[in-house]
Amino acid sequence: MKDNRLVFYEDDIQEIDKVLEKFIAASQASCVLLVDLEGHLVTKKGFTDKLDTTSISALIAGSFASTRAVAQKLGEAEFSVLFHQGVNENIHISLVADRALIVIIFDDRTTIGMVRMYAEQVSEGLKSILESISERKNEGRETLSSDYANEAESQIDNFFEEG
Amino acid sequence: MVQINFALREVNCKIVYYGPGRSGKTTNLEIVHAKAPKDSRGEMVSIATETDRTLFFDFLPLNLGTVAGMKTKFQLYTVPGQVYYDATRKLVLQGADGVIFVADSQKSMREENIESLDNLAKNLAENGINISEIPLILQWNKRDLEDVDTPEYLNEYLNRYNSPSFEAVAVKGDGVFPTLKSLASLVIKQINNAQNLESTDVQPKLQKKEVLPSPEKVDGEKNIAKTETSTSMPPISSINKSKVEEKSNAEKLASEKPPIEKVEAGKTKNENTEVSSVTKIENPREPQPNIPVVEKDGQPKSKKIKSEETTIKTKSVSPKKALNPIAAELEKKKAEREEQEKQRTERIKKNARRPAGTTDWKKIIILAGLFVVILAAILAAIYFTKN
Ligand SMILES: Nc1nc2c(ncn2[C@@H]2O[C@H](COP(=O)(O)OP(=O)(O)O)[C@@H](O)[C@H]2O)c(=O)[nH]1
Ligand SMILES: [Mg+2]
Repeated sequence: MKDNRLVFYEDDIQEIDKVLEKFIAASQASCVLLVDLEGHLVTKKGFTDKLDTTSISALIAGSFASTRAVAQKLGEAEFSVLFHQGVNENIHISLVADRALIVIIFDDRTTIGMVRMYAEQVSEGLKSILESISERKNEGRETLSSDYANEAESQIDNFFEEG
Repeated sequence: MVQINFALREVNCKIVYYGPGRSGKTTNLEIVHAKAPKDSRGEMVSIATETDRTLFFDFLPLNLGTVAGMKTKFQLYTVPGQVYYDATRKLVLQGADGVIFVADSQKSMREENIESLDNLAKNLAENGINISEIPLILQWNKRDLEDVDTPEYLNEYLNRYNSPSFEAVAVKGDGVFPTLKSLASLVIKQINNAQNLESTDVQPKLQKKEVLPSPEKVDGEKNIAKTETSTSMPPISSINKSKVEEKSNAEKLASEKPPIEKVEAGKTKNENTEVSSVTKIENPREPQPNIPVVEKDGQPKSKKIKSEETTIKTKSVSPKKALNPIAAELEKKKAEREEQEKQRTERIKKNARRPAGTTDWKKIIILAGLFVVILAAILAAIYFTKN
């Protein structure tokens, strides 16, 4: 159980954000989220102010996991792209490097063809970033501060104080 | 799997409530939702059947607050309890950092409890997690009922891994917080242990996918080779090659396509200031004790990229600075987007369905009112025709 953490450093996210920013400008999508397979948001770009990105991330990861299980029942490794079409908004979801989901929300300002095309590019870009993150050693980089656990303990005490 | 995000300055943990059907898992979450301070919890989302049985999961995000400069968040999930939904349960368990096993204390439920605990061990193993290593708390629920086992007996037949256990009457809210509190501390301790391990150890690989040993262990080396290939992605490059032509066409198309500009008049500065004030709340300038960089005006220098809201806000305040073509593009479309955001918010409100199982009183009152009026009219008609 040593292998139980997914760490993202600031410069990693900066690099990822750059790719996503370019994607937004090129594709005209309203926003893009990068979500890990457990449903935690990694980063987001575009117009997301009014979106409940926490819940959306969790639900999309659930939906992807469920679809993947269905794929396996059909002898597919996975359906690597999911697409949901609505009247006003559409969602395009794709798996990248087997560890994160690119979630693109877009409307009639652009087309599914454009989104799909740029999504493939973005996916390649992110794939190499994510892979280099996972292959790299992180000695000497930022870690949680040593009083994290102690501070958390007192925070937990406060939080769960019944009143 | 805990996600530690030094860019968002967040620590995210996943906690799963497990147990047989109707033991009180959803009720636990509802109580946490009701009791937790409003500003520290999000909406509870339930994917349930018409009859309020959990179909996929319930989900509740909790924000513990800022700990040593990191926002610490717990995401709580419940699983569907019935045997039938085993595949779904396994999915929800993926990447769990801690488990609360909610047992039904009734004597009549012994078999179901044992079956569910066995199932937990199996599904954890299939997700590459050893049940004796993951933070696990047991809850003896429904203590208010008549025919229940003693806590001692429950411990004897269900507590296999020497886990802390708590009595609860979830419907009344008793025992719900102590259970979660205890698990939360275990999970945090685990994070710290992993951290200490790491400083001596080589950095663990990022989410190395656990692959179960394949049944045929004839050729050891072959097995290893297989495992490795199955962890890597299917070769995207080969797929892409076949699409190169299509792509270049599309690229042409894209460059020819005139920018779609729906002019939305009436977007004024007011909105911008509104957005910035919201942004401020969403991006409190917390001290960042872990960044060894001098801070100016409370704004850490090294944090060039915060969330994109901040970036946009700054740019809208001083448009001259928006030299970057991408930023300029974004700037141009901002008003337009805001209008759309508004429309979206309205749509979300309009579409917000009432939670399953609650009664739509408005409809009932209107129907009842209508009924009374019609009845009165009929009675009046009868009265007048008779006289
Ligand atoms: N008597 C009693 N009933 C409970 C208690 N906790 C939950 N219940 C009831 O048990 C039923 C099933 O609860 P639910 O939370 O939906 O179970 P789940 O299937 O584990 O999610 C509901 O009718 C609850 O009101 C408890 O502590 N005592
Ligand atoms: Mg339930």
